[in-house]
Formats: sequence, structure tokens, C-alpha cells
Amino acid sequence: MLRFVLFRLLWLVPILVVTLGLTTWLMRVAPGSPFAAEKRVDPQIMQQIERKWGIDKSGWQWFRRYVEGLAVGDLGPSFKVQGRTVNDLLSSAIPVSLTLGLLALFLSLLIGVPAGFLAGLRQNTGWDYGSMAIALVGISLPAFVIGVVLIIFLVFEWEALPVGGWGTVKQLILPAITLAAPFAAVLARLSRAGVLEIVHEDYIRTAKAKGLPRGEIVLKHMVRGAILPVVSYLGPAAAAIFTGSFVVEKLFRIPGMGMHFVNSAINRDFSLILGVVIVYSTFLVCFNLVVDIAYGFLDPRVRLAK
Amino acid sequence: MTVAAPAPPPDETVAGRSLAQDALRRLIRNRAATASAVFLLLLVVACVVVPLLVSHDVQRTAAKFEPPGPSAKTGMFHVFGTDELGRDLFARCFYGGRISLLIGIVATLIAILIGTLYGSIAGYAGGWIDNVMMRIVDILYGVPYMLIVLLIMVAVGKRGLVPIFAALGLFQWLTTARIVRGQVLTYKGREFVLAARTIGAPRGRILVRHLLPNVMGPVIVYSTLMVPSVILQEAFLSYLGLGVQEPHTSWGLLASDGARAINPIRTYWWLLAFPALFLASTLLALNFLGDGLRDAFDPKGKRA
Repeated sequence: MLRFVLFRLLWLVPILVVTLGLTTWLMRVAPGSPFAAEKRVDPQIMQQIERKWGIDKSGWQWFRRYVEGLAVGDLGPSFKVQGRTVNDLLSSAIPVSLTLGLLALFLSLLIGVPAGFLAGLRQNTGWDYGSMAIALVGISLPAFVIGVVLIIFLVFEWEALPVGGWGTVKQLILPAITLAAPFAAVLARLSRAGVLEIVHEDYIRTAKAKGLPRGEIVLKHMVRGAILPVVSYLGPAAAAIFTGSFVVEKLFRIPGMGMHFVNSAINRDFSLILGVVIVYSTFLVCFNLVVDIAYGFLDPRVRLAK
Repeated sequence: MTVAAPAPPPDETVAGRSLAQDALRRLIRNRAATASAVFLLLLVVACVVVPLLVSHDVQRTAAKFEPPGPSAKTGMFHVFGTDELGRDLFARCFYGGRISLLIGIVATLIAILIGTLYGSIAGYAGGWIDNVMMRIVDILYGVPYMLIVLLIMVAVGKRGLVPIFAALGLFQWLTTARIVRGQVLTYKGREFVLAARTIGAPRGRILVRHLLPNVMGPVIVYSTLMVPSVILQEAFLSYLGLGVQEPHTSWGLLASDGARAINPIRTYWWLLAFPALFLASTLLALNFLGDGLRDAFDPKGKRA
């Protein structure tokens, strides 16, 4: 078990090397400088600036210097956000995205999984078609459309909730719903498929033959098997939810990670991009690890390789 | 020694149905999937034809921001209203559909092509080659895909459609590669492959003629479900201003322009509603069709 965990965590190293290398290379081949401004800058000053940030050297040298910093936990100064380090920017954004993400993940599980079970248990009824149609709409609309529709009705028309910002519980509701919607939809579809997968299994028939009440069959016997596809999706889903969504953060003015994710790429804020990449990949590897371990507990047929 | 005459062709009445024919029969029985396929076909035709008939240009403008109905200024009838430059939204929705569908299909084809090639080579070669190739896929799964797409779009700078195809298509082949490899692995030990090897068929021929046809079912299913996700990703890029550029447009760009035009004082609802309707109904139909195809190809036929 311990060896399995260590092995999986070591897996992070090649992922980071490839991602960071690819990112550095892409930033290098992009024409122009991240410091190009509207005003013309004296070439000598430009040289000074570039030397200060270390991008006068080759991509390889820059990459090496970055990895050396990374080894001691220093992600370097931000290129674009004046006077702030990447550590600083990320440590203020991560708690925000984690809070919102946790709420959204909880919400999407709370809505998606029961809806999927309902659809699966009453296959080909109105319940099935209804909840799956709603789920498909959730998958088929871009987040900005869902968010804007929520704003139009709940904020502009009924004035029930504030439009955005960060700090109060009321401000959390709309962004959490917008962030949760597509995930809830996928979870509903997955758990429906999971229910259909096991509903004809022998152990379910045995439980029925014993005369167990329906509720007990569902809760004790079916949940454990049917939840498996949901659990394996939760790894990548959690990584995506916790790193925040640019659209949601922009619509509701939330100071989270999603903003940095997109803005750093557009502004070519090299060090911030790499910082964001590290956080995302680490989240992904860790959540997938947790999911795999959970899988082993849920499904006795799966045993982790030693 | 005489060569035996070739066996007479099997009697028509007992001819077996191929897997694909069987799947097609099951698909046609699925009403939602059939309706979706018809809808998509009509939509594609409309997206090709309508922009030829109706001008979506700036030139023939009416008034700006007119709601659906006859224009107060010119008297021209605008089914979906006009946008911030006075362009007819009806025509632009169909014109945008061309580009959205094109991006969805081309990027998916690129991804499927790479994935099929990669996965079949890995699966067929087996051994350490397979191992190395699949570990590379595992590593690439950990790369934040959307960030790479953004960086490519920023790096390219000048934005035609080609960079969008490339950025969205070149990095989504991972799942296809896994599916194809799995399929190839299950089939390469079968008797018909052994038979082909025995008569001395070269490797490439075995792969293309004997293995790939068996792989196509799951790949078709997966690509039907990939098109909608690519269209959504294009919408996201357009929302950031990194996707399709004016005067060209796409459903994503139209919808995000509509979303931007929303303010508490005046709601230009049609600018958001119609593009979103097109986007949602197309994606819905593609998802229905993909689900239908998956059920049709599923040999267990659980949901048929």
C-alpha cells in the first residue's frame, strides 16, 4: 500500500517535467516579449528588464534556474503583477478556489447522484427521461450561458441574490451552482449508467430473493457497486473544480485560481503559468490517487498492485 | 491435381448480419437517436444553405439592437432581431453554425486519426513499445490541456481557423488511443488474425484490414461524443476572445457576445437566447446520437 502511494506520487515528477517543459517551450516560441508595452522602451532598459527576470538566457537555462527555485519551494516573482511573488498570489487564490470548489463538488454530488439513481432505478419512465434531459441540457450549455441566465433571473429580475464578490455566504450561492451544474449533469449520467450496470447482477437478485425491503437493497447493495463509475470520474473532476473556473470567477468577480489560469497565459506571465500548472497537476495526481485507494475499498474485486 | 471450385455464395436467406448492420438496426429503433440524426442532417444543410440566401453582412444593416420582428427603421423582418452592429441575427446564427460545426468535426477528426494510429501501433506492437507509449499517454493525461490550448492560441497570435483546429485537435487523442489499444489487444489474439498471419499477410495489412474495422465501433461512438465537447471548448475560447475572430463568428462567439450585452438596465435577451438555443440543441442532438450509437454497438444490448 505504502509502496503504491509512493510510486503514484513519484509519477508526479515526469508529469511536471513534461508539462513545465512544454509550457516553457510554448512561451519561448511565442513571438514578442511579455514586457512589450504600448510605449516604446529604450532597448537598453528592455535588456535590463529581461536580465532581471532571467529571460535573456536560453529557454533551457531559464528552465534550470526555475527548477532550482522550485526545489526550495520558490516559484519566483510574477512577471505582470507588480511586486508580488507567485507563492504570494497562489496562496491567496487557492483557499478561495478550494472553498468554492468544495461547495460546488458537494452540490453536484448531492444533486447528480440521487438524480442518476432515480433515473436508473426507474428506467424508461418519465423520471428517467426527465432527469436525463435536464442533465443533457446541463452538459450542452457553456458555463457562461448558465451563469448569465442565473444572473438575469435571480439578480436582475427577482433581486434575490447579490451579483458577485467574495466574503459572504450569499455571494457563494450563484457561483457554486454555476460551477456545479456541468459536473452534476455528468455525475447523474454516470450514476445512472452505474445502476443499470449492476441492476441485473446476481447479488442484487439474491438480495431481492431474500425479501429485503427495496430501500435496503438500494442503500446497502446497489450504492456500493453503482457508485464506482462516479468515483473514478471524481478524480479529474475534483482537480478541475478545485483549480477554479475562469468563467465563473469572471462572472461573479471571485479572486480565485481560475483567473490566474487564463490571465497568466494571455499575459504571458511565465512564472505564474508554471505555478498554476504545478498546482493543477499536483491536485490531479493526488485526487486520482485518493480515488484509486477509495476504489479498492469499494470494490473488493479490485486490489491495488503492490 | 485439380483445384476445388470456390464454394457457391451462401444462400441470401441465411446470410448473417454483420456487426455494423446489427448496430444500425438497433440505432434506427432508438427514436431519440434517429430524430437527433435527422435534426443534425437538416441543421448541416441549413448551415450551408441559409448564409448563401440571407446576408449576414454589415452592409445591409438595419437598426442596432432590434428585437425579433419587423425593423422599425427599414421595415425588414428580422426573425431573431439584430445585433450591436445591426446585423441580422438569424443569418449569423446559421453562419456561425457553419464554423462551430466545422471546428467540431475537423478537430475531432484530427484527434481520432492520431489516437487511432497511436493506439493501434501500441496495441499491436505490444511489449515494451506498448508500455512506453502508454506511459507517455499517462503522463500527458496529467497536463492541463486547456492551458496548453490557451498558450498555443496566444503563441500563434494571428488567428485563423487552422490554429483552432490544431490547438483543439492535437491534444485530445489520449482517450481514443486508450480505447483503440484496448480493442486491438482483445482482437489480436483471435483466430482470424492468426489465419491472416499464417497465410503471410504483412503486419500493416493485418492492422488495417483485420483489426481496425473491429475497432471502429467504439471509436465512432466516442467521436460522436467528442464533437459536442470540442464545440463547447471553442465557445470557451471565444468567450476569452481567443477563438473565432470577427467578422467570422461561431455559436460560442455569438453566445458570449450575447452574454456580454446583458446588463441590469436593458436586456437584449435575443442575443443570448438564440445562439444558446442553437448551441444547446445541436449538442443535445449529438449527445443523444452518441448515446444511441453506444447502446447500438453494445453487444450486451442492455438498453435496447
